[in-house]
Amino acid sequence: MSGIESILGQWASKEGIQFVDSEAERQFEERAQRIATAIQLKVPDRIPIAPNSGFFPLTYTGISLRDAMRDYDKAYTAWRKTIADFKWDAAMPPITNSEKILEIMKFKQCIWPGHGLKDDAKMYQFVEPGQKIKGEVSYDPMKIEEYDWFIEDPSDYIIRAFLPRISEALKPFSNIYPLHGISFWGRSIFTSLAGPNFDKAFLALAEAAREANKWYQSFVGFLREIKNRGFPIFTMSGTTAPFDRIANYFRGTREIFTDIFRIPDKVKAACERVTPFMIDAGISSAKATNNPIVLLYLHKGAFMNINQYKEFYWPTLKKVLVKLIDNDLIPYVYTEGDYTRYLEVIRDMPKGKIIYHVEKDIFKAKEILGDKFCLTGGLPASKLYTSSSQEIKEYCKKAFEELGEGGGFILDADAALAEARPENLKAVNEAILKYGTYKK
Amino acid sequence: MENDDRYITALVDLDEKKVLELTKERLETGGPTKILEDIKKGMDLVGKRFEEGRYFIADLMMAGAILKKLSGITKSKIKDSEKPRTLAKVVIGTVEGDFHDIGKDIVISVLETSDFEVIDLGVDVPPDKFVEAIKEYHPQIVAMSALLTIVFDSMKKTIEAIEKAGFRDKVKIMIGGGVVDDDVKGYVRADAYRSDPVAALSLARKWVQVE
Repeated sequence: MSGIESILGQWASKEGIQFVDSEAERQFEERAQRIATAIQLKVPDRIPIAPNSGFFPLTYTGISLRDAMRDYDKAYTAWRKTIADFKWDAAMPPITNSEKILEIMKFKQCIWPGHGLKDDAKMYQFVEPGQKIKGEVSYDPMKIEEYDWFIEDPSDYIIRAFLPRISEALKPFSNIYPLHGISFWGRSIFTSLAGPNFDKAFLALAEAAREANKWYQSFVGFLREIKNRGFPIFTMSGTTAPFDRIANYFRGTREIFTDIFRIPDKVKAACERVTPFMIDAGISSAKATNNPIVLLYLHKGAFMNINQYKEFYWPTLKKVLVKLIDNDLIPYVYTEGDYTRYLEVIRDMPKGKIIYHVEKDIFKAKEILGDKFCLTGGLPASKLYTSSSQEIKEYCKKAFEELGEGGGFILDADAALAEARPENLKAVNEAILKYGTYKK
Repeated sequence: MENDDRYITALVDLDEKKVLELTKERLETGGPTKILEDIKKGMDLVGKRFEEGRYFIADLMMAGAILKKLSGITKSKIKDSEKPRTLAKVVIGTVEGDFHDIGKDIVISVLETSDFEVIDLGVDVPPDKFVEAIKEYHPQIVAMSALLTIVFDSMKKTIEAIEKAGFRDKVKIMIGGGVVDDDVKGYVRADAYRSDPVAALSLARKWVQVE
């Protein structure tokens, strides 16, 4: 296992970056150094700022989500301008999706402009299993009696039950011959491929694959460009807490929170079953993107009482975090919702080995975790929209004193940005220079 | 039939199996009146555990699921004359542009358990739908939910529409949901923000003066 310094050295590495000019190179070094210092719980020259930019680049530039989902270059234009104008210390990659792929696959896990949302909608929205959209269930959740199937063979379950439900184009897969039955290039193959409409499903996949490749190439090119312009990319890879994997994608919120009472052992078994996959997802995505910071958005923990959290959520999440750390990666634990009551639980992680984002009550988190992990957050998304620039500056001045104390802090909005007022984010930048500098 | 502490305890502990067993047992020997009383007591205690921090949202969801099953069993046995008096009407919805319904639905279940009549407008509710519902149902309270920062202005517009239609002083307006806070309350000019369903219930009770 490498020390955190060498892992961050890899993160801040200039290798392979073709800077546009020497100024970009100098700023890249300065920015990367600032963030890396904070992650190591040390004191940088000033408080680093690295907001999770969410959909803000679109609302800021006036480029519609609809256009950005149709024309990847439009998305990059929005992100490029936002990154250049605000000059934050680390950039977050675009989060827009590809409309073409969603359309080809007739994908039901989200609604987007023109597909369930108004044409001018500013963000797409996730659709839970079993959630009703305009009075109709969008797609069926995993049934309670399907837990056994899922636990026995998750891949088979995903191919024959999950994919056909979340994608209309893959509906024929529900009749596919189980892939674990394939052994010889003979009858088992034609049995597998001869089902009704399988050709259509595979044609859709081929078309989506071509588009995905085009999208991916342009995406990688854009991220390279951002680095060339002097901006480190905060994180590009991610994984999921095992409980969230089951709850968000398979069972849905209502079902999972009755399951933990009715069939607690099965819920635990399902979480355990996906844990190695979640570890692997983190490791392989970090490798593929050559960025050791692995983002985990925490969702369903926010719904639980502390005993439920310790029993159902934390044990497998802990396994994922420990394994990522063992593999020289830095988990970026990004809480969404109120996790204040679990601060003592996360304290269990080794010092300086994770980054911890706080949505609610970061002041309390600073008190309890400040000596252990670098914290991110501090700017309420509500204030960024509803307050005046003057109020924002006053808030920053006060907040920086407490949150910046002793280093180990990166300023971020408390939740991913969407419709923040640009003048307020500019005020934040001014406040950082004015009140965020550490005394030598 | 008497009130039954065992029953209340099973309900407060969210022991679904036991509650259902006991309900069937009790219905064999008597009417639902005492059961309904016990359910109410039990749910008040669930709310108390929530306030003490022992229970959280998942527990309210389970309580809601148990109540749903119980009402399926007891409904047909309740005579109209035995039905509890409605305390007040609440019109509720997730504002336009937002499709989140889980938080809203928990608030509904908590309010209904405490004898509020709730008119649920669903999700992605445009301002004029709120106004129409106020016209039609004459609620004392309007509750709005939002989970996305992009819909603060939907909330604001909804309240402005209520003002414009001349109902602003006829209703109390509360807001809630993930990203909502007191800053948002000020911005949209609601009467109150509450951070959880139990707090929303005690505010609703205060507004209609049952505390």
